Amino acid sequence: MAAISLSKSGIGAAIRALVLMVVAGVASIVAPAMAHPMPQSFVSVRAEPRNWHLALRLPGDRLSVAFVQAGLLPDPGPGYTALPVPTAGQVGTYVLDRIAARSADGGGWGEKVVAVQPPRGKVDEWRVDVDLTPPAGTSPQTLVLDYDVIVREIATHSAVVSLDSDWYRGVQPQAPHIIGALRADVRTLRIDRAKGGMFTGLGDVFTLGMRHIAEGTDHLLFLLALLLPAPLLAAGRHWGGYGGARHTVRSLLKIVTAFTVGHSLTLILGAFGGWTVPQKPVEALIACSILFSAVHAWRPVFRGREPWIAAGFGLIHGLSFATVISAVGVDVWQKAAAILSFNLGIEAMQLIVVCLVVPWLILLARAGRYRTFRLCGAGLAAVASMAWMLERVTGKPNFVSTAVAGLLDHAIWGILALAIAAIGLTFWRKAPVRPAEAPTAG
Amino acid sequence: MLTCLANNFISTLSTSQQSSVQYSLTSSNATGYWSNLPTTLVTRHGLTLGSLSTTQKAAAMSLLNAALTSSGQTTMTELLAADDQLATSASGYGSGLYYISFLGTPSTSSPWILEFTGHHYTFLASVNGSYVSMTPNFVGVEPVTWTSNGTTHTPMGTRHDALLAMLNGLSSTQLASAKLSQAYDDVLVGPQKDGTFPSTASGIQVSSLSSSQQALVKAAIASYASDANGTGQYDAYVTDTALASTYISWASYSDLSTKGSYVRIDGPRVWIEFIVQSGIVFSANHYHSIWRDKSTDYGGNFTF
Repeated sequence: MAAISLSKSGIGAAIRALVLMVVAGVASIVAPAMAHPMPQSFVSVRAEPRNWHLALRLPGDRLSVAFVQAGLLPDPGPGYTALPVPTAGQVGTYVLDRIAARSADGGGWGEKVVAVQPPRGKVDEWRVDVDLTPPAGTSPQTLVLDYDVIVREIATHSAVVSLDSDWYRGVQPQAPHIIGALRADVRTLRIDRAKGGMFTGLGDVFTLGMRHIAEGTDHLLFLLALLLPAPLLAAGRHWGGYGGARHTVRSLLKIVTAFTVGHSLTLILGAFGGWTVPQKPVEALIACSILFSAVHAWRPVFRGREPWIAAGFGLIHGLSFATVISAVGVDVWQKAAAILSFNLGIEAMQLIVVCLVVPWLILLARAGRYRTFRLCGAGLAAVASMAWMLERVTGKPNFVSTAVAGLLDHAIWGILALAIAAIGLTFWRKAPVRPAEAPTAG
Repeated sequence: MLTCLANNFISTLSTSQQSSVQYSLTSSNATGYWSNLPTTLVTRHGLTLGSLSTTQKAAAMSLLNAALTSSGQTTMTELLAADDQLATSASGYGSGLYYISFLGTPSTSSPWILEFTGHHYTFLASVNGSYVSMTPNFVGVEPVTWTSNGTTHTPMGTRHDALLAMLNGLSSTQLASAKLSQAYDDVLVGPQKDGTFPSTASGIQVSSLSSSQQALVKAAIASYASDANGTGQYDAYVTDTALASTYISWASYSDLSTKGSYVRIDGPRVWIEFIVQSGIVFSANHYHSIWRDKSTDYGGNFTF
């Protein structure tokens, strides 16, 4: 998703730091990526209401060696140039032979390989999905897993096991917990699913919603560009003077509410319906929505109809949100609660951003120094949106999108500078020696 | 001798350097801060060679060299040069990123360890009155061979050739009984795997070999253990009694050139493993190997 892929740059990093200070105990930070190749297997475990799910990632070269060692494929012999590669069917059978799930009292479970995906592109890694189902009448509370995949054949191999999702423990796919390692001398793992309350899961999804906005530079920029002319009155085809605090707050409320209604609608429908909307057009449209807002901030093109525009583009942003949350929650009730909670997180973060920025906009507008700021802001948003559009259509970052990302990394300083400028100008204007400037913004 | 040179090195350091080179002799300090991974991935303790002044580095090298025989000094010099060779193609490598530190205060009356560790070369020289052991000793190399200014370097050539000669000396029947049942993709008792030796030795017993074959086993052990200057470890490994319960084994391929080719020497005290792995920075294969001593790793100060 666009928002996540842009997360390292942008206002995101700065605002997230702020949020971390404001909201104590917020989300874990993703572990740094390892540069040295890690030749282990990875096993992601998901606790589902009535069964368990394993997602295996197996290094291709190790799997081939295991097949040779087990005599399932011919030995290429010393000095080989390439290892034999098993078929997907062989890999499925191999995995099934080497995985056994049972209850703590020893009763065997059903195991089913539901998907086998051969290595793709540069990543030499097989992906195998396995469902583990206890017999009817047996509790799925505790899983005892006997695991022999590759570790039976390669004495020095290990599989890192992480708990990917356990609703009641508050574990969500975005922040898996490592729970152990399986290797030649440790081939059994016992996992108890948590009996925690509803709230752990919800709190986590709420945080996820907040993070999604804080890290999603494009959502933020759209909102900010849309809010940019909020303090102003339209005068024909130009922006006129400051409309007063009451006008500002009212137009803000309308825009933010409309955006919320729009994205909530598609978020709810998309997440519930499990829609898989093609990401590329959605991301390109989101970039497009920023351009629209930027143009509007330059000249009032849809004067008076801002709430409708906000709602319309909200629908598109909601489609992007839906992809983040669609995997969360396992039954209807959990899903509904998760979507609500995620949405509340989004709203909370939106509100924080509005509160961080809007007071300075009002002060600037009152000081009669709004025009330059508005035009600069609109220009930046327009350039950024066009660079993103190009990036999302071509699939490659370009010079401008990289530069914008770098610039937005320092957005928190931008907000600080904005605050200082706004306060400074306010006092300067009030100083008796200086004649007041007419509010001629626009 | 080592204690004297250690204190000489320490005396060249500033107060803050002295505090960062000195650690207490605990099991976690000893076992936890060495690796075959680059120093950017696994934290090392102590001072890097790269951070030392000329005088300090000279004192450090005198100390390190004193722990090593001349063949050991060659091993160290060549492996550091290999890391410099890696540094020309990737960041995070190089001889400047090798760390020196002390576990326990160097003295003639109480135990202490000189730890030298970087990416592909680590030894822990343990002193307790006298010099007890230089194990664990990790020896790895990438690139396996290169030419620089007309000189060809093959830092692990002696080890590789001695181990290969040992395997090549076996008859096909002996080879078959020395083959392990599993494959390997790294050394088994590597960093942070202290004490995880298999409970029963696998492979072929050295006492069942002819005297010329046994001589090849001794030469292979010597290619590691004779790097230590005066620990007496090699002599202990090759007594008739010790050799009688020493086993040699291999996995996957016995040519020590095919990826996955693996060889092991497992005695009452000695433990040597050597594995051919695919390259990390360069495309050619590279080697990992380790020499451990089941009784005197870390001077025998800890049990695992």
